[in-house]
Amino acid sequence: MAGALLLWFGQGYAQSDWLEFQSRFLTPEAELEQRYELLQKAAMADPGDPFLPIAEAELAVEISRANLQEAEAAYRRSYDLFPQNPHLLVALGETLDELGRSAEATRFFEEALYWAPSYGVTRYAYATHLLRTGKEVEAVDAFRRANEASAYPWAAQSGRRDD
Amino acid sequence: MSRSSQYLIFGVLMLGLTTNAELGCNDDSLLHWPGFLLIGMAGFLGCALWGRQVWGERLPSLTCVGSLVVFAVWIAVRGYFSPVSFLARADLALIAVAGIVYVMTSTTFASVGWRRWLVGLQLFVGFVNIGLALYQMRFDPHFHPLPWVERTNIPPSGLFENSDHFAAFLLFPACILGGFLVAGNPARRARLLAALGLGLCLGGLALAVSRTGFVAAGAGIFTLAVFAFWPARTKSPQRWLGPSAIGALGLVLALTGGWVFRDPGSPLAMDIRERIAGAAASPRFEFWKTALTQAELEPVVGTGSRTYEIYSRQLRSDLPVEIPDQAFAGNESLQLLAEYGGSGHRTRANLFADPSGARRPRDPAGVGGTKSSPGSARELVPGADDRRDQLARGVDDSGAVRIPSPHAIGRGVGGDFAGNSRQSRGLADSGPASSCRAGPGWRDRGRGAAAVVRPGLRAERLA
Repeated sequence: MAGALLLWFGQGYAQSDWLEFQSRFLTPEAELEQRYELLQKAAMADPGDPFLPIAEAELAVEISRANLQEAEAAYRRSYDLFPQNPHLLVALGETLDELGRSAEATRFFEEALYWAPSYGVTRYAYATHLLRTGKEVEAVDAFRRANEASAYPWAAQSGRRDD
Repeated sequence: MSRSSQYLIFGVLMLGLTTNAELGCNDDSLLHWPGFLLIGMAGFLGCALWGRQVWGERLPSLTCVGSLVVFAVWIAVRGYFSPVSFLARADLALIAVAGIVYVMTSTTFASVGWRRWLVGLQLFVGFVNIGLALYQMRFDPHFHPLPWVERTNIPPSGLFENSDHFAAFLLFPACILGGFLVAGNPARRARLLAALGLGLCLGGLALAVSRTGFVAAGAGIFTLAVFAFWPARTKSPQRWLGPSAIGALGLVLALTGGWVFRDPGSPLAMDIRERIAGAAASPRFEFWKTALTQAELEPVVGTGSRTYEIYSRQLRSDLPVEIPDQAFAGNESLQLLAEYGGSGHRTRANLFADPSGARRPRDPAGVGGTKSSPGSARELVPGADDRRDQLARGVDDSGAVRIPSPHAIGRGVGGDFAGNSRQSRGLADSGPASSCRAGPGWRDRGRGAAAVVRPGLRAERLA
């Protein structure tokens, strides 16, 4: 029975795995369109995977900054499947910021802070968001807290902490 | 059943285990779901082709199958109600895979010949890994046969990306060969070959420069020594010679340690002290603390399948800044407690504490530990064959490194390779000697290649 269950459920997942593998490893990095197409097919084969839409969104933006709407749609699909992922929440918030919908973005940054309160990456993103929305006093305070973050100091690794 | 169909299904099963990186290869460089699919196909074909025949001949005991079913059902139910169904999916798949591997290696592939194949394959993969590690050490530290794998870890690690995983893997062949030498009764030539193989594995372990590997190897060697000299089967006063020798050795080591620390300024003492301080500062303790805090949230039913990944981000406190997202607690028991609660822990305990085991008579030939029924659920753990083996298997819970019980494997395989027919019968009775990790530790796998694609990851790499 276990074998039958694996066969029944595994077909789509295996197909999706293979397509994603092709996109990540077997297609030249520069072939963005082709990789994007493969990722889309992979997401269609396994609509329950929350990480495929994220990869799709990142690639869409890499192809062109004009694809922010598509990226937002993909991030939202991922959000429906895995809303506790702080990296997704930050990415979605930043995308909304870039689309000029900062009020909407605030919610996602706050959720990211809830799920990863000690992460430098979430604190830094929130501080940047505050700066974008003109809340400079709060932003300074948020940057200070980002600097004191005990985990995942992405900002520091990329050199932004010194900025 | 025809021999060709057996070969076919064995091939599909092994291909599945290799494809999903279960058989001595890197975690993220291969495909998980196609591997699961192949294993599922092997199980399905096996059942369709000769299921009735096999189950009619060698039906595992109801207690054993029952404990596996109870555990699987609990995983399925908890997974269904978990907050993130995608994360739960891997656990559901892996319990199905564990069930298939368990049933097949305890029924169809339980004969001496198939065991020889299973163990031989494991040893072969071990030696391939060591050869590759030697090449990496001597010629190119970044070499990996799969072109898409970027090796950034400098200590040689064979087909693995991480040298700790390489060390953990080498412990399998090392323990098999150690058990073969200590508890088996092989011919002189086989003994010599096993000793060479063991030396090679330990050499590979040294290449890996893995603290976890060294600690686990020490624990494994100590366990082997205890098994080798445990005075259980004789009433002669000389039975205490072995344990006394171990005790004396321990005393000598303790005195040597005292002598080393006699001069706190000596380079050796300083080096050892630094290593101990390094171990004390290991983030693993923080991982465990986080798991315990998570377990307090839902002590009975747990917070859901694979939710450690979620809560480790929320609850982490004193971890060093450079430790990124942590999906595993580095301790199977604690993670199970956090995600599946006390009830999950209890259902898993059934796999190890088979009540029917206590009622079984000892194997009169004294070659297979207790004479367990074919396919004991406890034998999801390779070779876990009696209480002492459970003790040995407990080493697994100390960290990510898994040590198969050397006792039953050594006795069984030793007898097998020695061509001792009496021992071979004992082996056939003692359940699977598969080295496939279908037991605890199975949850480390199957997250899927997609799981490593996270927002920020690419940016982090670029940074």
